[in-house]
Amino acid sequence: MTNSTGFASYFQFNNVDWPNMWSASWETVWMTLISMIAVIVFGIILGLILYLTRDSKNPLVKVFNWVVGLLVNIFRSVPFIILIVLLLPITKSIVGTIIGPKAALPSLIISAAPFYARMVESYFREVDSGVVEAAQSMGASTWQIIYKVLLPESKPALIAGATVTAISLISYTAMAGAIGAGGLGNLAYLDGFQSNNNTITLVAVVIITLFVFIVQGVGDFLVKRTDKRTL
Amino acid sequence: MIRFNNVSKQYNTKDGELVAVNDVNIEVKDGQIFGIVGYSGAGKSTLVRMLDGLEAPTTGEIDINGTDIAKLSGSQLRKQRQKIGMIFQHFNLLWSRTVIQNVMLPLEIAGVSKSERIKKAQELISLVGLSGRENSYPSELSGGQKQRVGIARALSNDPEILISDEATSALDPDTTNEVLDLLLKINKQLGLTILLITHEMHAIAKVCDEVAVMDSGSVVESGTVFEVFKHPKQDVTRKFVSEEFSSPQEKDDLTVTELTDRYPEGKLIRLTFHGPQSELPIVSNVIRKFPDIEVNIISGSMRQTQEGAIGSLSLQFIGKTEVIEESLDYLKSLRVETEVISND
Repeated sequence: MTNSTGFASYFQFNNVDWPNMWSASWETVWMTLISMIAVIVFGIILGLILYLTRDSKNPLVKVFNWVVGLLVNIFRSVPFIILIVLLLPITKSIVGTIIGPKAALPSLIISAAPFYARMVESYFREVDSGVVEAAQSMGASTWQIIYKVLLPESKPALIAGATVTAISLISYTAMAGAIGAGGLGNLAYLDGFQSNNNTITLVAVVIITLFVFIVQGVGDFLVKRTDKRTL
Repeated sequence: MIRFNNVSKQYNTKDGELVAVNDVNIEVKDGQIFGIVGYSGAGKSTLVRMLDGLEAPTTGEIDINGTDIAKLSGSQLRKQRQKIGMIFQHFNLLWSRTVIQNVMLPLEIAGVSKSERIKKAQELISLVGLSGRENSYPSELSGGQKQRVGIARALSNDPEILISDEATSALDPDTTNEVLDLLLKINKQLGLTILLITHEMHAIAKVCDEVAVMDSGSVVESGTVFEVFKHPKQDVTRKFVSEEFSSPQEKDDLTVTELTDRYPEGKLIRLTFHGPQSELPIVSNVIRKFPDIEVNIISGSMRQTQEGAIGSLSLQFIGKTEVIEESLDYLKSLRVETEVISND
Protein backbone atom coordinates (compact mmCIF):
# COMPACT_ATOMS: atom_id res chain seq x y z
CA MET A 1 0.00 0.00 0.00
CA THR A 2 1.33 3.36 -0.99
CA ASN A 3 0.08 6.47 0.70
CA SER A 4 0.09 9.67 -1.26
CA THR A 5 -0.29 12.98 0.48
CA GLY A 6 -2.42 16.08 -0.12
CA PHE A 7 -5.66 16.15 -2.06
CA ALA A 8 -4.95 12.92 -3.92
CA SER A 9 -4.87 11.01 -0.63
CA TYR A 10 -8.70 11.13 -0.60
CA PHE A 11 -9.04 9.07 -3.75
CA GLN A 12 -6.93 5.93 -3.24
CA PHE A 13 -9.87 3.56 -3.41
CA ASN A 14 -7.64 0.47 -3.69
CA ASN A 15 -6.74 1.13 -0.04
CA VAL A 16 -10.35 0.60 1.05
CA ASP A 17 -11.20 -2.75 2.59
CA TRP A 18 -14.79 -2.93 1.32
CA PRO A 19 -16.06 -5.92 3.31
CA ASN A 20 -14.79 -4.12 6.41
CA MET A 21 -16.57 -0.96 5.31
CA TRP A 22 -19.89 -2.79 4.84
CA SER A 23 -19.73 -4.51 8.18
CA ALA A 24 -18.92 -1.18 9.86
CA SER A 25 -21.89 0.39 8.06
CA TRP A 26 -24.11 -2.41 9.25
CA GLU A 27 -22.91 -1.87 12.82
CA THR A 28 -23.82 1.80 12.59
CA VAL A 29 -27.29 0.96 11.26
CA TRP A 30 -27.77 -1.66 13.97
CA MET A 31 -26.72 0.67 16.79
CA THR A 32 -28.94 3.47 15.49
CA LEU A 33 -31.98 1.25 14.95
CA ILE A 34 -31.88 -0.58 18.28
CA SER A 35 -31.17 2.54 20.31
CA MET A 36 -33.82 4.46 18.37
CA ILE A 37 -36.52 1.90 19.20
CA ALA A 38 -35.61 2.14 22.88
CA VAL A 39 -35.40 5.95 22.72
CA ILE A 40 -38.90 6.20 21.21
CA VAL A 41 -40.37 3.90 23.87
CA PHE A 42 -38.62 5.53 26.85
CA GLY A 43 -38.93 9.03 25.42
CA ILE A 44 -42.70 8.76 24.99
CA ILE A 45 -43.12 7.22 28.45
CA LEU A 46 -40.97 9.92 30.07
CA GLY A 47 -42.62 12.67 28.03
CA LEU A 48 -46.05 11.40 29.07
CA ILE A 49 -45.02 11.32 32.72
CA LEU A 50 -43.76 14.90 32.48
CA TYR A 51 -46.92 16.02 30.66
CA LEU A 52 -49.40 14.29 32.96
CA THR A 53 -47.77 15.37 36.22
CA ARG A 54 -47.03 18.96 35.22
CA ASP A 55 -50.03 20.79 36.69
CA SER A 56 -50.82 18.54 39.60
CA LYS A 57 -51.71 20.12 42.94
CA ASN A 58 -50.74 16.98 44.85
CA PRO A 59 -47.36 17.70 46.54
CA LEU A 60 -46.13 14.13 46.04
CA VAL A 61 -46.83 14.28 42.31
CA LYS A 62 -45.16 17.69 42.18
CA VAL A 63 -41.98 16.29 43.73
CA PHE A 64 -42.10 13.31 41.35
CA ASN A 65 -42.45 15.66 38.37
CA TRP A 66 -39.54 17.72 39.65
CA VAL A 67 -37.28 14.67 40.11
CA VAL A 68 -38.06 13.25 36.68
CA GLY A 69 -37.56 16.68 35.14
CA LEU A 70 -34.23 17.08 36.89
CA LEU A 71 -32.93 13.66 35.76
CA VAL A 72 -34.01 14.39 32.21
CA ASN A 73 -32.24 17.74 32.28
CA ILE A 74 -29.05 16.28 33.74
CA PHE A 75 -28.71 13.50 31.17
CA ARG A 76 -29.70 15.84 28.38
CA SER A 77 -26.98 18.34 29.25
CA VAL A 78 -24.01 16.00 29.84
CA PRO A 79 -21.89 15.98 26.65
CA PHE A 80 -22.22 12.58 25.03
CA ILE A 81 -18.55 11.75 24.95
CA ILE A 82 -18.33 12.33 28.73
CA LEU A 83 -21.53 10.38 29.34
CA ILE A 84 -20.00 7.29 27.68
CA VAL A 85 -17.00 7.44 29.96
CA LEU A 86 -19.20 8.13 32.98
CA LEU A 87 -21.38 5.12 32.18
CA LEU A 88 -18.51 2.68 31.53
CA PRO A 89 -18.96 0.74 34.80
CA ILE A 90 -22.73 0.54 34.29
CA THR A 91 -22.26 -0.56 30.69
CA LYS A 92 -19.85 -3.24 31.84
CA SER A 93 -22.34 -4.61 34.35
CA ILE A 94 -25.33 -4.52 31.97
CA VAL A 95 -23.75 -5.62 28.68
CA GLY A 96 -20.70 -7.42 30.05
CA THR A 97 -18.23 -5.54 27.83
CA ILE A 98 -17.21 -1.99 27.04
CA ILE A 99 -16.14 -2.74 23.47
CA GLY A 100 -18.30 -3.18 20.37
CA PRO A 101 -21.69 -1.98 19.12
CA LYS A 102 -23.66 -3.55 21.99
CA ALA A 103 -21.62 -1.64 24.55
CA ALA A 104 -22.64 1.64 22.91
CA LEU A 105 -26.36 1.05 23.45
CA PRO A 106 -26.78 2.06 27.12
CA SER A 107 -25.10 5.42 26.71
CA LEU A 108 -26.83 6.09 23.37
CA ILE A 109 -30.22 5.40 24.91
CA ILE A 110 -29.58 7.24 28.16
CA SER A 111 -28.43 10.35 26.36
CA ALA A 112 -31.07 10.45 23.59
CA ALA A 113 -34.19 9.35 25.50
CA PRO A 114 -34.30 12.45 27.75
CA PHE A 115 -33.68 14.61 24.69
CA TYR A 116 -36.68 13.04 22.95
CA ALA A 117 -38.74 13.08 26.17
CA ARG A 118 -38.60 16.88 26.35
CA MET A 119 -39.72 17.11 22.74
CA VAL A 120 -42.57 14.66 23.38
CA GLU A 121 -43.72 16.67 26.38
CA SER A 122 -43.87 19.84 24.33
CA TYR A 123 -45.74 18.08 21.49
CA PHE A 124 -48.37 16.88 23.96
CA ARG A 125 -48.72 20.40 25.28
CA GLU A 126 -49.31 21.62 21.76
CA VAL A 127 -52.32 19.33 21.33
CA ASP A 128 -55.40 21.56 21.33
CA SER A 129 -56.59 21.75 24.94
CA GLY A 130 -60.15 22.10 23.65
CA VAL A 131 -59.91 18.66 22.05
CA VAL A 132 -58.64 17.15 25.29
CA GLU A 133 -61.50 18.82 27.15
CA ALA A 134 -63.97 17.53 24.57
CA ALA A 135 -62.70 13.99 25.18
CA GLN A 136 -63.05 14.53 28.92
CA SER A 137 -66.61 15.71 28.44
CA MET A 138 -67.31 12.47 26.55
CA GLY A 139 -66.29 10.59 29.68
CA ALA A 140 -62.85 9.45 28.50
CA SER A 141 -60.41 8.09 31.09
CA THR A 142 -56.84 9.37 31.23
CA TRP A 143 -55.62 6.28 29.41
CA GLN A 144 -58.25 6.75 26.66
CA ILE A 145 -57.23 10.39 26.31
CA ILE A 146 -53.62 9.29 25.86
CA TYR A 147 -54.11 6.73 23.11
CA LYS A 148 -57.18 8.17 21.41
CA VAL A 149 -56.32 11.88 21.53
CA LEU A 150 -52.77 12.79 22.61
CA LEU A 151 -50.85 10.20 20.58
CA PRO A 152 -52.80 10.42 17.30
CA GLU A 153 -53.08 14.22 17.44
CA SER A 154 -49.34 14.64 17.94
CA LYS A 155 -48.24 11.86 15.57
CA PRO A 156 -46.64 14.05 12.88
CA ALA A 157 -44.73 16.01 15.53
CA LEU A 158 -43.64 12.78 17.25
CA ILE A 159 -42.31 11.50 13.93
CA ALA A 160 -40.54 14.76 13.12
CA GLY A 161 -38.93 14.76 16.56
CA ALA A 162 -37.91 11.13 16.18
CA THR A 163 -36.26 12.01 12.87
CA VAL A 164 -34.18 14.74 14.48
CA THR A 165 -33.28 12.39 17.34
CA ALA A 166 -32.33 9.57 14.95
CA ILE A 167 -29.99 11.89 13.08
CA SER A 168 -28.24 12.98 16.24
CA LEU A 169 -28.04 9.30 17.25
CA ILE A 170 -26.16 8.56 14.03
CA SER A 171 -23.58 11.15 14.94
CA TYR A 172 -23.45 9.82 18.51
CA THR A 173 -22.68 6.33 17.20
CA ALA A 174 -19.74 7.80 15.32
CA MET A 175 -18.51 9.44 18.51
CA ALA A 176 -18.98 6.21 20.43
CA GLY A 177 -17.07 4.47 17.65
CA ALA A 178 -14.03 6.59 18.33
CA ILE A 179 -13.66 5.01 21.73
CA GLY A 180 -14.29 1.45 20.64
CA ALA A 181 -17.97 0.94 19.94
CA GLY A 182 -17.50 -0.18 16.36
CA GLY A 183 -19.32 1.14 13.32
CA LEU A 184 -18.28 3.74 10.77
CA GLY A 185 -16.98 6.18 13.38
CA ASN A 186 -14.64 3.53 14.69
CA LEU A 187 -13.48 2.67 11.17
CA ALA A 188 -12.89 6.30 10.22
CA TYR A 189 -10.93 6.87 13.39
CA LEU A 190 -8.76 3.72 13.43
CA ASP A 191 -8.31 2.80 9.77
CA GLY A 192 -8.69 6.35 8.50
CA PHE A 193 -7.19 8.83 10.90
CA GLN A 194 -4.72 6.68 12.82
CA SER A 195 -3.50 4.82 9.72
CA ASN A 196 -3.28 8.07 7.83
CA ASN A 197 -5.70 6.75 5.22
CA ASN A 198 -7.90 9.69 4.16
CA THR A 199 -9.86 7.69 1.58
CA ILE A 200 -11.38 5.50 4.26
CA THR A 201 -12.40 8.58 6.28
CA LEU A 202 -14.00 10.10 3.17
CA VAL A 203 -15.95 6.94 2.27
CA ALA A 204 -17.17 6.61 5.89
CA VAL A 205 -18.33 10.22 5.79
CA VAL A 206 -20.16 9.70 2.51
CA ILE A 207 -21.96 6.64 3.84
CA ILE A 208 -22.95 8.39 7.09
CA THR A 209 -24.23 11.38 5.12
CA LEU A 210 -26.25 8.98 2.99
CA PHE A 211 -27.79 7.47 6.13
CA VAL A 212 -28.74 10.90 7.41
CA PHE A 213 -30.39 11.79 4.09
CA ILE A 214 -32.35 8.54 4.06
CA VAL A 215 -33.56 9.04 7.64
CA GLN A 216 -34.56 12.63 6.91
CA GLY A 217 -36.34 11.62 3.70
CA VAL A 218 -38.30 8.81 5.33
CA GLY A 219 -39.15 11.08 8.29
CA ASP A 220 -40.41 13.88 6.06
CA PHE A 221 -42.48 11.45 4.04
CA LEU A 222 -44.14 9.98 7.13
CA VAL A 223 -44.84 13.42 8.62
CA LYS A 224 -46.52 14.48 5.42
CA ARG A 225 -48.59 11.31 5.24
CA THR A 226 -49.84 11.48 8.82
CA ASP A 227 -50.56 15.21 8.97
CA LYS A 228 -54.19 15.79 8.01
CA ARG A 229 -54.38 19.40 9.20
CA THR A 230 -53.82 20.86 5.77
CA LEU A 231 -54.73 19.01 2.65
CA MET B 1 -84.38 18.21 34.16
CA ILE B 2 -81.41 20.31 35.13
CA ARG B 3 -81.58 22.27 38.35
CA PHE B 4 -79.02 24.71 39.71
CA ASN B 5 -79.74 25.29 43.40
CA ASN B 6 -78.05 28.35 44.90
CA VAL B 7 -74.88 27.52 43.00
CA SER B 8 -71.83 29.68 43.67
CA LYS B 9 -68.24 29.30 42.57
CA GLN B 10 -65.33 31.23 44.00
CA TYR B 11 -61.69 31.14 43.00
CA ASN B 12 -58.82 32.13 45.22
CA THR B 13 -56.53 34.22 43.11
CA LYS B 14 -53.53 36.36 43.94
CA ASP B 15 -55.75 39.43 43.93
CA GLY B 16 -58.12 37.92 46.45
CA GLU B 17 -61.36 36.07 46.03
CA LEU B 18 -62.99 36.02 42.64
CA VAL B 19 -66.67 35.18 42.46
CA ALA B 20 -67.24 33.59 39.07
CA VAL B 21 -70.78 32.38 39.73
CA ASN B 22 -72.97 33.96 42.38
CA ASP B 23 -76.00 32.18 43.83
CA VAL B 24 -77.45 30.92 40.56
CA ASN B 25 -80.86 29.25 40.47
CA ILE B 26 -81.93 27.85 37.13
CA GLU B 27 -84.37 25.15 36.24
CA VAL B 28 -84.35 23.62 32.76
CA LYS B 29 -87.31 21.40 31.99
CA ASP B 30 -87.09 18.27 29.85
CA GLY B 31 -87.40 18.90 26.15
CA GLN B 32 -86.79 22.63 26.49
CA ILE B 33 -84.26 24.77 24.70
CA PHE B 34 -82.96 26.95 27.47
CA GLY B 35 -80.69 29.88 26.72
CA ILE B 36 -78.10 31.46 28.95
CA VAL B 37 -76.95 34.79 27.59
CA GLY B 38 -74.24 37.06 28.90
CA TYR B 39 -71.09 38.90 27.89
CA SER B 40 -67.76 37.16 28.29
CA GLY B 41 -66.79 36.93 31.92
CA ALA B 42 -70.41 36.69 33.03
CA GLY B 43 -69.83 33.20 34.38
CA LYS B 44 -71.42 31.16 31.60
CA SER B 45 -68.41 28.92 30.94
CA THR B 46 -67.92 28.20 34.63
CA LEU B 47 -71.54 27.15 34.79
CA VAL B 48 -70.99 24.72 31.91
CA ARG B 49 -67.81 23.32 33.40
CA MET B 50 -69.64 22.65 36.65
CA LEU B 51 -72.44 20.94 34.77
CA ASP B 52 -69.87 18.60 33.27
CA GLY B 53 -68.13 17.95 36.58
CA LEU B 54 -64.91 19.56 35.33
CA GLU B 55 -65.25 21.90 38.31
CA ALA B 56 -67.18 21.60 41.53
CA PRO B 57 -69.38 24.39 42.88
CA THR B 58 -68.15 26.06 46.08
CA THR B 59 -71.68 26.00 47.48
CA GLY B 60 -75.04 24.82 46.20
CA GLU B 61 -75.84 21.80 44.11
CA ILE B 62 -76.37 20.89 40.49
CA ASP B 63 -78.97 18.25 39.88
CA ILE B 64 -79.26 16.51 36.51
CA ASN B 65 -82.22 14.14 36.37
CA GLY B 66 -81.86 13.39 40.05
CA THR B 67 -78.07 13.07 40.16
CA ASP B 68 -75.97 15.52 42.13
CA ILE B 69 -72.98 16.06 39.85
CA ALA B 70 -70.61 17.34 42.53
CA LYS B 71 -70.97 14.06 44.45
CA LEU B 72 -69.72 11.93 41.57
CA SER B 73 -66.12 11.01 40.89
CA GLY B 74 -64.02 8.57 38.89
CA SER B 75 -65.90 6.14 36.67
CA GLN B 76 -69.34 7.31 37.90
CA LEU B 77 -68.53 10.83 36.75
CA ARG B 78 -67.27 9.52 33.40
CA LYS B 79 -70.52 7.53 32.98
CA GLN B 80 -72.52 10.67 33.79
CA ARG B 81 -70.56 12.72 31.25
CA GLN B 82 -71.55 10.25 28.54
CA LYS B 83 -75.15 11.32 29.14
CA ILE B 84 -74.30 14.91 28.26
CA GLY B 85 -73.43 15.87 24.71
CA MET B 86 -71.43 19.00 24.17
CA ILE B 87 -70.66 21.23 21.21
CA PHE B 88 -68.04 23.94 21.29
CA GLN B 89 -67.21 27.30 19.75
CA HIS B 90 -64.09 25.95 18.05
CA PHE B 91 -65.69 22.57 17.27
CA ASN B 92 -62.83 20.68 19.00
CA LEU B 93 -62.75 17.93 16.39
CA LEU B 94 -59.74 15.67 16.10
CA TRP B 95 -57.98 16.65 12.87
CA SER B 96 -56.35 13.22 12.77
CA ARG B 97 -59.74 11.53 12.39
CA THR B 98 -62.20 11.52 9.54
CA VAL B 99 -65.78 12.71 9.97
CA ILE B 100 -67.10 9.26 10.77
CA GLN B 101 -64.17 8.48 13.07
CA ASN B 102 -64.81 11.71 14.97
CA VAL B 103 -68.47 10.83 15.39
CA MET B 104 -67.49 7.35 16.60
CA LEU B 105 -65.06 8.62 19.25
CA PRO B 106 -67.59 8.91 22.11
CA LEU B 107 -68.89 5.45 21.21
CA GLU B 108 -65.36 4.02 21.35
CA ILE B 109 -64.93 5.64 24.75
CA ALA B 110 -68.21 4.11 25.91
CA GLY B 111 -67.08 0.70 24.64
CA VAL B 112 -69.71 0.19 21.93
CA SER B 113 -68.98 -2.60 19.41
CA LYS B 114 -67.53 -1.63 16.05
CA SER B 115 -70.50 -2.62 13.89
CA GLU B 116 -72.87 -0.66 16.14
CA ARG B 117 -70.51 2.32 16.14
CA ILE B 118 -70.50 2.48 12.37
CA LYS B 119 -74.28 2.08 12.15
CA LYS B 120 -74.96 4.78 14.74
CA ALA B 121 -72.39 7.18 13.28
CA GLN B 122 -73.85 6.83 9.80
CA GLU B 123 -77.37 7.54 11.07
CA LEU B 124 -76.19 10.69 12.81
CA ILE B 125 -74.14 11.87 9.86
CA SER B 126 -77.23 11.69 7.69
CA LEU B 127 -79.30 13.40 10.43
CA VAL B 128 -76.97 16.40 10.37
CA GLY B 129 -76.91 16.41 6.57
CA LEU B 130 -73.35 15.30 5.90
CA SER B 131 -73.96 12.03 4.05
CA GLY B 132 -71.19 11.41 1.56
CA ARG B 133 -68.60 13.28 3.63
CA GLU B 134 -67.94 10.39 6.06
CA ASN B 135 -64.35 9.97 5.00
CA SER B 136 -63.38 13.62 4.76
CA TYR B 137 -61.02 15.13 7.28
CA PRO B 138 -62.11 18.20 9.28
CA SER B 139 -59.60 20.33 7.37
CA GLU B 140 -61.63 19.67 4.22
CA LEU B 141 -64.85 21.02 5.74
CA SER B 142 -66.29 24.51 6.19
CA GLY B 143 -67.02 25.93 9.64
CA GLY B 144 -70.69 25.06 9.45
CA GLN B 145 -69.93 21.51 8.34
CA LYS B 146 -67.44 21.11 11.18
CA GLN B 147 -70.09 22.15 13.67
CA ARG B 148 -72.46 19.61 12.13
CA VAL B 149 -69.85 16.95 12.80
CA GLY B 150 -69.59 18.34 16.34
CA ILE B 151 -73.36 17.98 16.74
CA ALA B 152 -73.38 14.43 15.36
CA ARG B 153 -70.53 13.55 17.71
CA ALA B 154 -72.36 15.08 20.68
CA LEU B 155 -75.45 12.99 19.89
CA SER B 156 -73.69 9.67 19.41
CA ASN B 157 -74.17 8.41 22.97
CA ASP B 158 -77.90 9.28 22.95
CA PRO B 159 -77.40 12.01 25.56
CA GLU B 160 -80.14 13.29 27.87
CA ILE B 161 -78.91 16.85 27.45
CA LEU B 162 -77.07 18.74 24.74
CA ILE B 163 -74.97 21.70 25.82
CA SER B 164 -74.06 24.22 23.17
CA ASP B 165 -71.19 26.33 24.47
CA GLU B 166 -70.98 29.36 22.14
CA ALA B 167 -71.34 26.89 19.29
CA THR B 168 -72.33 29.49 16.72
CA SER B 169 -70.02 32.29 17.84
CA ALA B 170 -67.30 31.48 15.31
CA LEU B 171 -69.71 31.17 12.39
CA ASP B 172 -71.03 33.70 9.91
CA PRO B 173 -74.71 34.75 10.16
CA ASP B 174 -76.01 32.37 7.47
CA THR B 175 -74.15 29.39 8.88
CA THR B 176 -75.27 30.37 12.39
CA ASN B 177 -78.86 30.15 11.23
CA GLU B 178 -78.27 26.77 9.59
CA VAL B 179 -76.76 25.38 12.77
CA LEU B 180 -79.55 26.86 14.90
CA ASP B 181 -82.16 25.33 12.58
CA LEU B 182 -80.42 22.00 12.99
CA LEU B 183 -80.52 22.34 16.78
CA LEU B 184 -84.25 23.12 16.60
CA LYS B 185 -84.81 20.10 14.38
CA ILE B 186 -82.94 17.84 16.81
CA ASN B 187 -84.88 19.27 19.74
CA LYS B 188 -88.20 18.56 18.02
CA GLN B 189 -87.23 15.22 16.47
CA LEU B 190 -85.45 13.67 19.45
CA GLY B 191 -87.13 15.62 22.24
CA LEU B 192 -83.68 16.49 23.50
CA THR B 193 -83.16 19.11 26.20
CA ILE B 194 -80.74 21.74 24.93
CA LEU B 195 -78.84 24.27 27.00
CA LEU B 196 -77.66 27.06 24.73
CA ILE B 197 -74.88 29.25 26.07
CA THR B 198 -74.21 32.33 23.97
CA HIS B 199 -73.56 36.04 23.88
CA GLU B 200 -75.73 36.46 20.79
CA MET B 201 -79.31 37.44 21.53
CA HIS B 202 -80.12 36.44 17.98
CA ALA B 203 -79.51 32.78 18.73
CA ILE B 204 -81.66 33.00 21.86
CA ALA B 205 -84.51 34.70 20.03
CA LYS B 206 -84.44 32.17 17.23
CA VAL B 207 -84.53 28.88 19.11
CA CYS B 208 -84.94 29.23 22.86
CA ASP B 209 -88.09 28.77 24.92
CA GLU B 210 -86.69 30.31 28.06
CA VAL B 211 -83.69 32.46 28.77
CA ALA B 212 -81.57 33.48 31.74
CA VAL B 213 -79.50 36.65 31.43
CA MET B 214 -76.21 36.55 33.30
CA ASP B 215 -74.11 39.48 34.41
CA SER B 216 -70.99 39.29 36.62
CA GLY B 217 -71.78 35.80 37.86
CA SER B 218 -75.45 36.31 38.68
CA VAL B 219 -78.64 35.59 36.83
CA VAL B 220 -80.16 39.08 36.62
CA GLU B 221 -83.26 38.22 34.67
CA SER B 222 -85.00 35.12 33.43
CA GLY B 223 -88.25 34.02 31.89
CA THR B 224 -89.69 33.09 28.54
CA VAL B 225 -87.80 34.60 25.63
CA PHE B 226 -90.93 36.43 24.59
CA GLU B 227 -91.38 38.09 27.99
CA VAL B 228 -87.73 39.05 28.32
CA PHE B 229 -87.72 40.53 24.82
CA LYS B 230 -90.94 42.39 25.38
CA HIS B 231 -90.19 43.88 28.76
CA PRO B 232 -86.46 43.80 29.46
CA LYS B 233 -86.04 44.93 33.07
CA GLN B 234 -82.29 45.13 33.54
CA ASP B 235 -79.89 47.41 31.70
CA VAL B 236 -77.79 44.52 30.47
CA THR B 237 -80.88 42.80 29.09
CA ARG B 238 -82.00 45.99 27.35
CA LYS B 239 -78.57 46.19 25.80
CA PHE B 240 -78.82 42.64 24.53
CA VAL B 241 -82.31 43.18 23.17
CA SER B 242 -81.39 46.44 21.46
CA GLU B 243 -78.30 44.82 19.94
CA GLU B 244 -80.61 42.28 18.40
CA PHE B 245 -82.50 45.10 16.71
CA SER B 246 -79.41 47.15 16.16
CA SER B 247 -78.36 46.71 12.56
CA PRO B 248 -81.16 48.80 11.04
CA GLN B 249 -80.96 51.35 13.84
CA GLU B 250 -77.35 52.18 13.25
CA LYS B 251 -78.32 53.57 9.90
CA ASP B 252 -81.16 55.48 11.59
CA ASP B 253 -79.07 58.30 12.94
CA LEU B 254 -78.26 59.67 9.54
CA THR B 255 -81.77 59.32 8.24
CA VAL B 256 -83.22 60.82 11.41
CA THR B 257 -81.13 63.99 11.08
CA GLU B 258 -81.91 64.18 7.39
CA LEU B 259 -85.61 63.78 8.03
CA THR B 260 -85.73 66.25 10.92
CA ASP B 261 -83.92 68.71 8.66
CA ARG B 262 -86.40 68.17 5.91
CA TYR B 263 -89.51 68.01 8.09
CA PRO B 264 -88.78 70.14 11.13
CA GLU B 265 -92.38 69.87 12.28
CA GLY B 266 -92.22 66.09 12.35
CA LYS B 267 -92.39 63.79 15.31
CA LEU B 268 -90.23 60.67 15.41
CA ILE B 269 -91.90 57.68 16.96
CA ARG B 270 -90.84 54.12 17.62
CA LEU B 271 -93.46 51.41 17.75
CA THR B 272 -92.87 48.03 19.33
CA PHE B 273 -95.38 45.30 18.72
CA HIS B 274 -95.53 41.64 19.44
CA GLY B 275 -97.51 38.57 18.61
CA PRO B 276 -100.91 39.25 17.02
CA GLN B 277 -100.34 43.00 16.54
CA SER B 278 -97.37 42.33 14.33
CA GLU B 279 -99.69 40.67 11.87
CA LEU B 280 -102.13 43.60 11.69
CA PRO B 281 -101.87 46.35 9.06
CA ILE B 282 -101.28 48.97 11.77
CA VAL B 283 -99.60 51.63 9.66
CA SER B 284 -102.24 51.66 6.95
CA ASN B 285 -104.95 51.76 9.66
CA VAL B 286 -103.36 54.89 11.08
CA ILE B 287 -103.07 56.52 7.67
CA ARG B 288 -106.67 55.73 6.83
CA LYS B 289 -108.00 56.94 10.17
CA PHE B 290 -105.92 60.11 10.22
CA PRO B 291 -105.64 61.22 6.58
CA ASP B 292 -104.21 64.57 7.69
CA ILE B 293 -100.92 63.15 8.88
CA GLU B 294 -98.15 61.95 6.68
CA VAL B 295 -96.14 58.94 7.69
CA ASN B 296 -92.50 58.34 6.82
CA ILE B 297 -91.00 54.94 7.54
CA ILE B 298 -87.46 55.33 8.82
CA SER B 299 -86.56 51.82 9.79
CA GLY B 300 -88.12 48.60 10.84
CA SER B 301 -87.24 45.10 11.84
CA MET B 302 -88.95 41.89 12.76
CA ARG B 303 -87.68 39.01 14.84
CA GLN B 304 -89.25 35.61 15.00
CA THR B 305 -89.07 33.98 18.42
CA GLN B 306 -90.39 30.56 19.36
CA GLU B 307 -93.54 32.23 20.76
CA GLY B 308 -94.22 34.71 18.00
CA ALA B 309 -92.91 37.75 16.23
CA ILE B 310 -91.56 40.90 17.83
CA GLY B 311 -91.34 43.97 15.64
CA SER B 312 -89.83 47.39 15.94
CA LEU B 313 -90.76 50.22 13.61
CA SER B 314 -89.46 53.80 13.56
CA LEU B 315 -91.79 56.32 11.93
CA GLN B 316 -92.02 60.03 11.39
CA PHE B 317 -95.46 61.60 11.77
CA ILE B 318 -95.95 64.98 10.09
CA GLY B 319 -99.04 66.99 10.81
CA LYS B 320 -100.83 69.00 13.48
CA THR B 321 -99.68 68.20 17.00
CA GLU B 322 -103.21 67.44 18.22
CA VAL B 323 -103.81 64.99 15.39
CA ILE B 324 -100.51 63.27 16.09
CA GLU B 325 -101.45 62.98 19.77
CA GLU B 326 -104.76 61.44 18.72
CA SER B 327 -103.06 58.97 16.45
CA LEU B 328 -100.72 57.97 19.25
CA ASP B 329 -103.70 57.34 21.51
CA TYR B 330 -105.20 55.24 18.76
CA LEU B 331 -102.02 53.20 18.53
CA LYS B 332 -102.08 52.68 22.28
CA SER B 333 -105.64 51.43 22.00
CA LEU B 334 -104.33 48.80 19.57
CA ARG B 335 -101.95 47.76 22.38
CA VAL B 336 -98.92 48.86 20.40
CA GLU B 337 -96.16 50.32 22.52
CA THR B 338 -95.15 53.77 21.37
CA GLU B 339 -92.16 55.83 22.24
CA VAL B 340 -91.41 59.35 21.05
CA ILE B 341 -87.75 59.44 20.07
CA SER B 342 -87.46 63.15 19.26
CA ASN B 343 -89.69 66.04 18.43
CA ASP B 344 -88.67 69.38 17.08
